Amino acid sequence: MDTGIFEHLNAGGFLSDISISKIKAQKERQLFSLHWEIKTILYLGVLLLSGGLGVLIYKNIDSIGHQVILIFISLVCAGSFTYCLKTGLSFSRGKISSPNSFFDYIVLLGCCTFITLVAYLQFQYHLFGNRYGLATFFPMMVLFFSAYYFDHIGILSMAITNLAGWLGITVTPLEILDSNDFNESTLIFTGIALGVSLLCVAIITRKKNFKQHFEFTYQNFGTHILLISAIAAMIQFENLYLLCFLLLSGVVYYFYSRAMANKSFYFILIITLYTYVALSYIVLKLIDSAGDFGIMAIYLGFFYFIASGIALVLFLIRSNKILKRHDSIQ
Amino acid sequence: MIAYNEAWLQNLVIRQEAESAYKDNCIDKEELENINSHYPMAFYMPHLFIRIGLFILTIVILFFSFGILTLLFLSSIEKAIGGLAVFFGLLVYAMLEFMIRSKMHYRSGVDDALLWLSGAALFGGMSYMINAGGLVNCLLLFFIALYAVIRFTDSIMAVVAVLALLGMFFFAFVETGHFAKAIVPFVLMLVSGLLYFLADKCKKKKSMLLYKSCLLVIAITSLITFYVSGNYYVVRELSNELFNLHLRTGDTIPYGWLFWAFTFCIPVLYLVKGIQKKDSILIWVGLLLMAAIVFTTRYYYSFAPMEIVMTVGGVIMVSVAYWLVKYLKTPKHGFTYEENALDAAGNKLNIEAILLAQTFAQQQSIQEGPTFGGGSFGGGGASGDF
Repeated sequence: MDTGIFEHLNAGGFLSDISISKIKAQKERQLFSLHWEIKTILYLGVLLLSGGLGVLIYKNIDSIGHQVILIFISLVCAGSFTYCLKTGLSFSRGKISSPNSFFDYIVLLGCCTFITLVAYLQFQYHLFGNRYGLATFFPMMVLFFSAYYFDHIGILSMAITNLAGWLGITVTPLEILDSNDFNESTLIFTGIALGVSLLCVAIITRKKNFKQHFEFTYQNFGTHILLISAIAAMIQFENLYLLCFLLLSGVVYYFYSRAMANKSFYFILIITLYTYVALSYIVLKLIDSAGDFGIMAIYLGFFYFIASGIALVLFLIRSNKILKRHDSIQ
Repeated sequence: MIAYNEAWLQNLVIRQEAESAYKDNCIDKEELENINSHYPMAFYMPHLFIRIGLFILTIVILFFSFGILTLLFLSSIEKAIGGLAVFFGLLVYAMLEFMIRSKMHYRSGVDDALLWLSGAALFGGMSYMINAGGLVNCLLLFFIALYAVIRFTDSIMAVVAVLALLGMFFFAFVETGHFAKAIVPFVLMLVSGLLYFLADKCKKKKSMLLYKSCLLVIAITSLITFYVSGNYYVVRELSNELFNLHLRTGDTIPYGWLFWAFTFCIPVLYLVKGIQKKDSILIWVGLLLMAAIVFTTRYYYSFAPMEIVMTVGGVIMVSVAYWLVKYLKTPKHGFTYEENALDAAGNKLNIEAILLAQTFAQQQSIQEGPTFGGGSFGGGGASGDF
């Protein structure tokens, strides 16, 4: 805050003397916050430590022995969960704030070690035999439980990722497009079903007032998974692409009205971009199938992108205006 | 001088300050509304996400417009492309001025895209036409970026301008002679240092209010370039290249110890100064460059295997963080661990959660293949194996 500006405002008669003294007092009281600096150090430290320990164990597995490592991991896991159960506040339907700043990381540690433990047991001792699904299912349940019980949105994201993994889809943000083979129709249907279910959970979360602050996470994952799967379906089922596009438009219309109701600029942006990709695919396909125009087809395609770009710019500007009208704070 | 309405820009600063004072409960609603009505501002400034969307779409539109332009001259494209790019750049620039003047766009995504693309097209076109070398390229880039900074107060262009200026010095000295070549690191450090002090000084001036964000970015960039110019790795590898030293592993450069000293001392200096002056820029840059110390040292001396370094580093960082949180439980020397109320409100998107999903979640999938990445969180990652 710059007190100079406020003194100027005070001199102009826009600020009462009480307000300016409040501002000055606030300025004097204001401390220099190292919150994000410390959090970043902690986060990087945990990342380095877990990675380093992992490699260390992996390299020395022969000299340490599997049993020792297993015991160590289970001890860490049990210790973390015991700590969390003891210090954490009891379960509530609303938001619970964590008792101290390390609590969230200890929940994370407990969950990560549990996952590692199950993976280890499955790999080394074939705990679940060939029922690989079970080996992902158990950690997933623990993750969901921890996310709800300890109120940890990060763990919830991990749980949803794991749920998708259990169903056979990779949904970590950076790998979603690379790691999945969208040419397989079962995968596409799974994706659509998963997306729809996540969105339903988001609605239930809000309506039933059960951990309402989880809604965004469910909705975010659901929207991305559903729209990507729908676009993949459009490309995969060539004969039905117009039908797929109609379905997609319906979904997008629903998203649009929801986003407008929630005043969410973020969802407006992502559905606009997904729709643009889908629409452009259709138009290029139509131009391509219309016959051999040679260079004219290229011109046509270019003009389409310019015209549609301008149209979408106008659309975004309009949406922004409508949203802002209901919203005094930007 | 500035393309945007300067009175509005000033009013915008006042309104933003008043808004944050209102959120801190220092002024009441009546006063806020009074201020807002006396300091009018009618810029078109959409929400951040809409700005991103408008930016992407404007880039798409401009890209395909340029495509059509090149299609028209397809037969003689190699001769025409430079001139076309310059022509296109001017056209886009005219559009930029139009959008700002009559549509009142300010940081709307549209003006950002128009500015950067017109700069890129003008630079690319001119550079292609005169077949410019390193020095001339930097000169061109510097003047284009400087113009953009002065007229549009654009921070990204401020970064470009700083880098281009340093590039100019670099090429000018490297191409002059042997002695000039040898003192390049010191020249670049000198220029970066001067830029930092200049930017830091101007930041406090009232007349520079509208350039505040540019000056901030210039300060950050020059702090980093100051370090990079003296960093042992950069200096050694560059001198190896420039002087044809044919260094083998283990060989060092003349005055190597001096650059090692720079490599180690500068980040520490930044951190200490940052804490003394309560300057978050210095603290963040210092923290970032701490990592550079580790990477530089490890590149030449592998005193321990990577996993040991990671484990030890992790333990140190976690303990430091733990100690700091405990230490600052009650605020000391004006520092606190408590989050600023305004920052907390800004974290709506749960960036932390997204980060966790990305970095920790890949390893949960249980692999069926013969490879086992150990019990690590970092090693698994074969999530596509299903």
